[in-house]
Amino acid sequence: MERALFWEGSVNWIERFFVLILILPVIGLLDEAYGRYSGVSWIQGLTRLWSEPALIESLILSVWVASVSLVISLFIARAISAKTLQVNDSQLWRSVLLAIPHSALAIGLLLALSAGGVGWRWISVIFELPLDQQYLFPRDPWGIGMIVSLVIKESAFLIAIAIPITKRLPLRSYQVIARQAGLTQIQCHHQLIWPQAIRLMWPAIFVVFVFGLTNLEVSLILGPDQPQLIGVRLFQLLTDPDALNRQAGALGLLIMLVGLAVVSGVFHRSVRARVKDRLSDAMAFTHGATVLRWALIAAFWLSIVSLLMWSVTMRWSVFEPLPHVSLNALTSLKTLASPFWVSLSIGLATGVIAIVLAVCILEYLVSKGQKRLHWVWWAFLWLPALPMASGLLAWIYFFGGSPGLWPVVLGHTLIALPYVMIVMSDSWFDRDRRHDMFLKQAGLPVGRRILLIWVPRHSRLLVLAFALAFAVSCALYTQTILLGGGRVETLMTELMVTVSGERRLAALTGLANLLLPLIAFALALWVNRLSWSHRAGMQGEGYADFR
Amino acid sequence: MIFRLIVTTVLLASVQLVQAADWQAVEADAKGQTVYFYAWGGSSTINQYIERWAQIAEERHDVKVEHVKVDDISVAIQGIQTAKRVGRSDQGSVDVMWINGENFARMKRDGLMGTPFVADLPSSKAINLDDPTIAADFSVPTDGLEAPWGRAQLVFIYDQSRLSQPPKSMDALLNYAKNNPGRVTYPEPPNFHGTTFLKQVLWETTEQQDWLQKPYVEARFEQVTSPMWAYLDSLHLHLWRKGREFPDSAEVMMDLFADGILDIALSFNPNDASQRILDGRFAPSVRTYIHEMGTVGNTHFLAIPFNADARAGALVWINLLLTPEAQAEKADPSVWGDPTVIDESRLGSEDQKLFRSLNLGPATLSAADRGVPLSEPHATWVEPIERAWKERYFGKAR
Repeated sequence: MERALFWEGSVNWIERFFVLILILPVIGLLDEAYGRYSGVSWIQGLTRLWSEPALIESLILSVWVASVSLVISLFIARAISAKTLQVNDSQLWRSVLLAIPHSALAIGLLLALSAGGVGWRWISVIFELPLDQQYLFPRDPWGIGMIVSLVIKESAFLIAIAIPITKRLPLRSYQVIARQAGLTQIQCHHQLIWPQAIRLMWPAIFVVFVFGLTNLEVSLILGPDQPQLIGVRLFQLLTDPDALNRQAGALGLLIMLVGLAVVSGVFHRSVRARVKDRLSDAMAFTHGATVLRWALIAAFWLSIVSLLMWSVTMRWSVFEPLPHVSLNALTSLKTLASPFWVSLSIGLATGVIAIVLAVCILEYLVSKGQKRLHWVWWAFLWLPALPMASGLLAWIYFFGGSPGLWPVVLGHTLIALPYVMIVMSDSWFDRDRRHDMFLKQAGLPVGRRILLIWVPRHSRLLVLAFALAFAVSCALYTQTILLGGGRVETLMTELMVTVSGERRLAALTGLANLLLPLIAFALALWVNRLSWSHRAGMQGEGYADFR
Repeated sequence: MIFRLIVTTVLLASVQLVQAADWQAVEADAKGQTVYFYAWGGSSTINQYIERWAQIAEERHDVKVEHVKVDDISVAIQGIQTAKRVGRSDQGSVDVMWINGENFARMKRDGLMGTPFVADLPSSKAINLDDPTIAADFSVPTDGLEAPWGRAQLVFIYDQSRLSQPPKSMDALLNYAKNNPGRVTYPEPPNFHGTTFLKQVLWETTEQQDWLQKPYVEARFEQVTSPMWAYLDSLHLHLWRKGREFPDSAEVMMDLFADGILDIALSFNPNDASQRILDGRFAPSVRTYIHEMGTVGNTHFLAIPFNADARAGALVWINLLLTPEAQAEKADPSVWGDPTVIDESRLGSEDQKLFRSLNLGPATLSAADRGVPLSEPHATWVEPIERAWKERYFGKAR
C-alpha cells in the first residue's frame, strides 16, 4: 500500500500554533498594505504598484525561470532516481550539494561565466571566440545563469526527497508487472514508479517552484537586471524609504501569496490526477539527463575553482594568459572573522533549538498516534522569505522588541525546524510501537525514554538533521537582514554586501560561505561513521531487529 | 574701545570654555557606549580604514564602533522610519550613517534627523561650513544635521597604454563608442554611480541647467531631459552588450576595465585609480581625466538619526573622523584616497604638513586640473530621472 508523504487528518494544537505563526506575518503585511503607515488608501498603493515599469515582465520572467528550473531539476532527479535503484546512492555527493548555500554557488558561477570569468576565458580559447565579449550569461535577459544555479541545487534537493519516497513504494511488484509487460528497468521506473513518486513528493516540488519564483539571493547575483525578477522588485519596494512604495510592495507580496495559493491548488490537483508518462523513448531522455548532469557538475566545479582563483587574484587582463596573484589579498580574511563567529553562533543556536523542538514535537505526535507529517510543516517552506520576515518584524515591533540577534535566531529556527521535521519524521513515525509499550510498562518516565532510548537510537539522523539546520541557517539572508535590522552580520550578509563590490572580497566571502556549512556536513558524516560502530543495535534502520 | 575689546575677548573665551566643558561632558557620556555605524561595505580598503579608526576610538575615547556594512543605506532608513511610526524615539538601531543626496533630503523631510550638531564638534573648526558644497547637499541645506566627511568628483579612468586620447565630452564619448562598439558602458541606475553618469549627461546636453538647481517640477521634466534621452538612445546601441546589460556598480565596471573588456571606467573618487594601482588591481599605466566642461561633484556626509541610542558616542566618533589625522590618512591613496573636507588654511603648520606630504599617486589629477565641480541637481530630480530611465529601457533587453 502506498503511504502519503504527509498526513491530512485533523489538526492538533501544535500544528494550530504553527499555522498561527504562518498567518501572523501575513496579517503584519495586511497592516502595511492597508496604508496604516503611508496614510493613503490601498487603491493608491495598488496604483503605485501598477505604475512600476515592466512589473508584469518581471513576473513573467520569474515564472519562466521558476518553471524551467523546476522541470530540468525534475528531469535530472528522475534519471538519478532510476539509477539509484540499480546502483549505490551517492549520499556524500548529494550532501555536499545540499550543504552549499545558493548564493555561494551563484557568486562562483558569476565569477566563472561572466565577462572575464575563469570559465569564460577557457571557453573563449577552446571555441576561438573573442575574449573581450560576453554572449549569454550570467545576468542574461532570459535568466539562464540563474536557471543553471537553481538546477544544480534543486535537483540535489529533489533527489534527496525522491529516493526515500521511491524506496518506500512496493518496487518488487512494480518490477514484476513491468517484466510481464515487456518493459525495461528504466521504462519501469519512468512509467510506473516515478509517476507515483511525483504524486507523493508534490509539497517538495512546490517548495522548489516557490523558491525559484521568489528568492532574493540568487536573483540579485545572477538574475536578469532589465527588469529584475519579481522577488527583487518587491524587495526594493518593500525596503524603500518612501511609505507609499512600501505599501505598494506589501500589496505586491499579498497578491503574490494569493497567486501562489492558487498555483498550489492547481499543483495539488494535477499531481493527484493520474500521472501518465508520455515519453516515447525513455532511454534517450535518460542519456540527455546524464549529459546535463555532467554539465552541471562541471559548472559546479568551475564555480569552486573561480572562487579560489579570484580570492587571490589582484588583476587579470583577458589579454594576459595568467593572473597577477598575491597572497596579500588574503589580508581581507581578518574582516570575515567576526561574521564567521556570528554565523557559527547563530547556526549552532538554530540547530540546537530546531533539534530539541523537533524531538519534542515528534514525540508528542507519536504519542497521539499520528503516522505522517502534516502539510503545515511544508507550508513554512512554501511561504516566501520576504513576506514572512517582514511580517515577523512588524510583530516584533508590535510586542515592543527590536531587531537583533534573537529575532534572527527565531527567524532562522522557523525555517530550519520544518526541514528538520521533514528529515526526522519518517524514522520517528516508523518506529516499532511495541517498544513504546514495553518502556511504558517498565515505568520509565517519558523524559528518560527520550533521552536514554530514542535520542541515542536516532543519533545518526539527529546529527545529520543538525548539520542540515546549521547549513540552512548559514544560507539565510532575507531573515537575517530584516530581523537583525542590519546589525547582525553573518557570512551571508557579508557576501551580499560584497557582491556588487570588490570581486576579490566577494570571492573570498563566497568561499567562506561555502566552507562553513560544508565543514558542518563533513563533521556530521565523520561523527556518524565513528559513533556506535561497536553496537549492532545502533546501526539504524532496524538493523538489529532485522538480524 | 579697549573696554569693548576686553569684554569681547572675555566673552569669546567664556564661550569657548563653555563649549569645551560641554564637549568634555559629551566625551564623558560617550565612555563605554557602542556606536553602530551604518556604511557601505563593498570595499575592503574602506572597511579596513573604518576598522582601524574604530580601534582608535576605543583606545582613545572608550567608544566601541561597530561597522554595520550595508549594500544600500535605504534599508537603514526604513528601520528608522519604522521606529518613528511606532513611536520609538530612542534605542534606535542606527547611531551614525554615511549618507548624502536624496536619502538625506528624504530623512530631513520626514523628520528622521536629530538636532543640529556639526557646529558643536571641536573638529568642525577646521572645516569651512559656509562652503556651498558643504552647506547644501544636492541643493538641500544641511542645517548642521550632517557632518561633511569626504569630497567626491566624477572622474573617468582609462589606460594610456590602450587609449592615447580619451574622449573629453559626451559627444566625443558617443563618437568613441561608435568607433569602438562594446568598449564603453556605465553602471545601471539607480546605482549611485549610474545615476551620476546620467546627471553628467544631463548637464552636458540640457539647455535648462538653472532649472536643475531648483526643486523638481513635472511640467519641466520633458524639456530638461529630452536631449539626454536622445543622447542615451544613440549611445546604448554601441555600449557593451549593446546596452542590454549594465554593470551592477562602479566596482563591477572597474573589474571589466581591469580585465581589458572596457576601455573607460568611472569613479566618484578622484584618487581611486591611484589607490588601485598601488594595491595592484590596476596596471601602472592607468590614468584619470575629466570632461572639458567639468564633472559632477559633491560631498558625502555623516548623520545621526533622531532615535540614535548612543548619541554622545556618535558625536565622539564623527569628531574623531574629522580630525586632521583621520582626514589626512583617509586622503592617502595607499589607505583609501578619499579627498578631505578640511580647509587646510585653517590648520596649524604641523597639521598642514600631514596633507602636503601626501603622495596622491600617478593617476590623480590635481585640484586645479579637476576645476570647480558641476553641482548636483536638486535632490528631488533624482527619483523622476531614475524612474524615467527604468520606464524607457526596462524590458527592452530581449
